[in-house]
Amino acid sequence: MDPGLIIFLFLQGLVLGSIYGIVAVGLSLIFGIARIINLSHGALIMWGAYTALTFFVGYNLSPLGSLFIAIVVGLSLGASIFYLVLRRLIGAHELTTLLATFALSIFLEEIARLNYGLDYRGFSWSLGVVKIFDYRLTYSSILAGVIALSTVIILTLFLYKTRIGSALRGVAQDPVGAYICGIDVNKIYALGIGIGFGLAMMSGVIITMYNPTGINPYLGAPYLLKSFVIVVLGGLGSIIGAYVGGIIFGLAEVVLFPLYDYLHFHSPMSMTLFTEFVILLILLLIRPYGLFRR
Amino acid sequence: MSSSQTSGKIFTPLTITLIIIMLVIGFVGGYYASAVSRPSAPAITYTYSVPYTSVATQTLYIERTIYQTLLTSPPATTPTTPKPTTPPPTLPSEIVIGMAVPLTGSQGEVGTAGFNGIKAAIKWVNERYGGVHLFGKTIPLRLVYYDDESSKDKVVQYTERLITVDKVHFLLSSYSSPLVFAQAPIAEKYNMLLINWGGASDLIHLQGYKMIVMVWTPASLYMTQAIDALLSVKKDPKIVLIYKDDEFNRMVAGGVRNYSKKLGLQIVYDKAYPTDIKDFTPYLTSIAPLKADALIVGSHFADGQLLTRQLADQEIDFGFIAMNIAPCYTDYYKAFGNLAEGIICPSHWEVGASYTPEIASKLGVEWFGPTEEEFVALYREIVKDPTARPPYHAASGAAAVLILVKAIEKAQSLDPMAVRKVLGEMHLITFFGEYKIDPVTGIQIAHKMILVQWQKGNLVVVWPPEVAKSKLVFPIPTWAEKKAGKQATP
Repeated sequence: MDPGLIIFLFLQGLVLGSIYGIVAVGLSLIFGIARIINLSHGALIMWGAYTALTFFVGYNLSPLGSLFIAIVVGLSLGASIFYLVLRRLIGAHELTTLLATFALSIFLEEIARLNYGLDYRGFSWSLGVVKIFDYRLTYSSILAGVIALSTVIILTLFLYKTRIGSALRGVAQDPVGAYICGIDVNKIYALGIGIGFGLAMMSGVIITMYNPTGINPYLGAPYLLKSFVIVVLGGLGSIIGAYVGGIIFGLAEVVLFPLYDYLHFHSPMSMTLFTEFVILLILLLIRPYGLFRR
Repeated sequence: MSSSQTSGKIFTPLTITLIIIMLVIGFVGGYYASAVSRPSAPAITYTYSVPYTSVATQTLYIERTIYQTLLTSPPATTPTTPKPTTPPPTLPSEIVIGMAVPLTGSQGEVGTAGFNGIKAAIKWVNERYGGVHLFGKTIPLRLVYYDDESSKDKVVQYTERLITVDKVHFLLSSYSSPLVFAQAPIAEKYNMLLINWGGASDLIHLQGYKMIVMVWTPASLYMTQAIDALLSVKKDPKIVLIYKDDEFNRMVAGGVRNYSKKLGLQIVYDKAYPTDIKDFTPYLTSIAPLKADALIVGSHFADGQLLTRQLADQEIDFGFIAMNIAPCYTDYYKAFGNLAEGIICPSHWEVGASYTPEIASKLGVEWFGPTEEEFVALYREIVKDPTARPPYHAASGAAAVLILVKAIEKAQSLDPMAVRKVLGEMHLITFFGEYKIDPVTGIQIAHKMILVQWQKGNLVVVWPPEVAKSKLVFPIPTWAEKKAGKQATP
């Protein structure tokens, strides 16, 4: 096998995995802090992609600029949704929050449908290509991977090196204890959910940096599914776990595809997905709590 | 977590056995899917010739290949209900045509074009032609439609509603093979005539249905013209074939595979991609080192656009790129600008390559409907854009209406069975081209494909030579050259 191809596939897997990682981190964070499985995660990713599209087409703003808009919008939306809906559901049965976020997901998707219609949209943003041996990777996708990695590093530093980060972790571990210590638990929940929403919307923008076409109101559904797999793989609630899970997923995809291609399967991509889920199943049998949770 | 305490017990010999069984089923299933979803080349067991008469009235013959599937499909029976000879006691005040059509969703762009073509044809029938001539009276057409949102569930639901609640007289199909495939059994169940202008997969017509009639060329012949054109400029080309894993494109790919095999051509890469594809990078990584001469893509609109974007981003060059559907649209050029230069699209019809009453008279076939100029003017009125260029889907939709109207008039009946019988025997020419079907399966056998290529910002007919308005550009400029502004100049 061509050694250039192996190096290229490895780099490509890292880029793709990094993007999958950031997509999953928001979901994991919200579960870690508030024990809410956010089914509106996919819809938020979709809104992130539409944010990039709207600002690129309407104001000629590159997706890099839209990243910040998406974070701010997501943060505000998350905090608002917490005070409006989710605050009443903290501590409720997980099925209740599941239904609430499912409703939110439908609401967000239908608003997008009303506003943008069902047509597939896209825009053209290119920074050129870098040649790795005989193969090409776009700068914008590398940038997307690097931004995803940086975000995870910054988020980890924020959670482990700042007072607010400590408060977030404190509330995640024991809300009553945190309350007794004088932490405003509601504000911390609002912040945590806001960050989770912000990350989800931001990952939508990052996805458009990797691939700026095919934006539609149901764009988020396959990413939500993959996020669940990745989060479960990494361990629910673990940020590092989600990111590493994403990297594993990305690498698996770029390794399995050429393998099935070589074996003459007529649709190697479908077989790749199948195998990824089999790997997850096996991993869950060995470590049902995920790779990074004890 | 408590689950960690039980993890040791979960991984028992039983679970390992189950996993192994599942893996075996998955892999064998995958392999089996590979085998059955490719109409394999040796399956050509039967060939027949269809007179292929060009617009320039030169007679050619193309040999059409019919797959094993056609031969093994359950035999359909031709409707035998005799047409009524006496007028019905009361004629309706209007003839209602029903349609579920994707105006939104992944097929929305193309579905809307077809829908506008249908409206233009109905306008011609009602306002210019005076209505359908039935028992000495003229009866106008009325269209009842629903947006099926490109959803298989909704197209089924609306088709049933059109028949049972709206009580339409006839149905026009939805757009795209998967949607027509989904709605066909519903029409058949109610013995309702369905004029298929939007689903090109041969398989729709190989299910034994007797009420489905095809207007355009079947999918298995979509890309054979592209191979002929390629051979005219490149001897012994290396071909890459990728296609969407759906009913329509599987047939397109089967056609390419069989035709290439017959001509002794080399397909160096032949793979399907999932219908909801979001990223072509893995395919492009495999294709790039092959240094092939030609890329043939079985696609629809959204995936065709995505592939073009990623081919351009990764600068994977081919001297010849032929792609279904997406490049036939002006929106394609709007989205990609100069990057669209040189891309080829197989088309059923283009402005400037229409049939005329003169051609019909030379061929000795009956003419019906508006001329190209009339149709284009009506289409522009409908879309309220004086410069709009109707794509072939619009023309196909319009042809469906015209063929139906002519058949009703010939049958002098609104009975779907009587009209279907006439449709099985009728030979007609409209501006869209010839109409004649295989009376049993309803597959179109007379209509022919043309090839169009983006050249200097215009979509021009380049194949077959007798109708070509410009010379085929080969090799097309590379992506880097196109990014620098180079155009495909003949």
